[in-house]
Amino acid sequence: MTAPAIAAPRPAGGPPSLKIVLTGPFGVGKTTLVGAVSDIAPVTTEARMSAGNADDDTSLTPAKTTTTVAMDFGRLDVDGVTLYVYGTPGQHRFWFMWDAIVRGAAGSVVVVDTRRLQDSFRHLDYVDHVRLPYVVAVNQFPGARSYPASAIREALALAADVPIVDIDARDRDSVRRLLIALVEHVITRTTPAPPSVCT
Amino acid sequence: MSSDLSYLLNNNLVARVPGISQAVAVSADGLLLAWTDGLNRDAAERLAAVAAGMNSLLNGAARDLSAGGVQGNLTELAHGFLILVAVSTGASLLTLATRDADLAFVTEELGRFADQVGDQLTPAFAGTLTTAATGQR
Repeated sequence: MTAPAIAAPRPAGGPPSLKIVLTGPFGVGKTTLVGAVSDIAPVTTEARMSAGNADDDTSLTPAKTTTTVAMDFGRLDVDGVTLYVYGTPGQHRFWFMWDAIVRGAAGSVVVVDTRRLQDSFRHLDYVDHVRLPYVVAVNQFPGARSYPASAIREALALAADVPIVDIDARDRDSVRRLLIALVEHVITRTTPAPPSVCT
Repeated sequence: MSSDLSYLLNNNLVARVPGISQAVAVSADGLLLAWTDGLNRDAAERLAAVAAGMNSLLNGAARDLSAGGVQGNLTELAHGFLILVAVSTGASLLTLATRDADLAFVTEELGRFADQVGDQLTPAFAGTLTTAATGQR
């Protein structure tokens, strides 16, 4: 895939590159995903979690002992396009950082866990609000029931054109396919449409 | 990536200001614009992401304290000082200074440098795609 028309060239004419933002609720696998796919050692800002995190439901992630307190960052090349992936912190109390993290982003991935889809509603609302093109990534946790895309689309009230991609956040190839799907979706969304449609 | 800006970081900061050993210039959206010779590209890109994250975190604190926006940050390390200088456009410079640096002088020079190159620190990724994708905001 070559995408010269959609990627903003670097000032000195280097390879095209895109900033992508990864979001989703606490414990859904965002840090794992960045670590799996990054070509460089990622930036992680995990800290030991204390008890009393009243704001986020931890009942389905009992083994989780750390949480991202600022962001994750990784970089990968896909067919000559450099993708910079920024992961938002999942916990609600870090949301003040989001507006800064999404600045300059071309698109977003919202990661969901089928056992608690409702935890992703506010993330979906946010990317809708800032008008970022996005795909929904269903991170398939071991032991979680698997649902058809149509059921997930209905449960999350997603528009018909939002891609839904099943992933294993630990698997590099799986995550690369997800990010390629996002880039393709961004291209589709930003292809010039007739003025009457593009309002 | 701006090679002119990298030249300026190397020659107007590291070579000219005693105590400054490394620096990266970072766009408001957290991407690397330029870096000094002593850093490899991968490390420089991580530092750029960290600079944007620090800026964002500290602005979060500043908002709750009603104390205005972040202008800079000084972090003491065991073997040096990490200095963040925010540029009005939202861009920033993240610099490593040596432990024995004259911090007053270094920070003054960093501020002067930021004023000089401020125009070059515009978001690297505000290209056609992002404009199209988020321009209606």
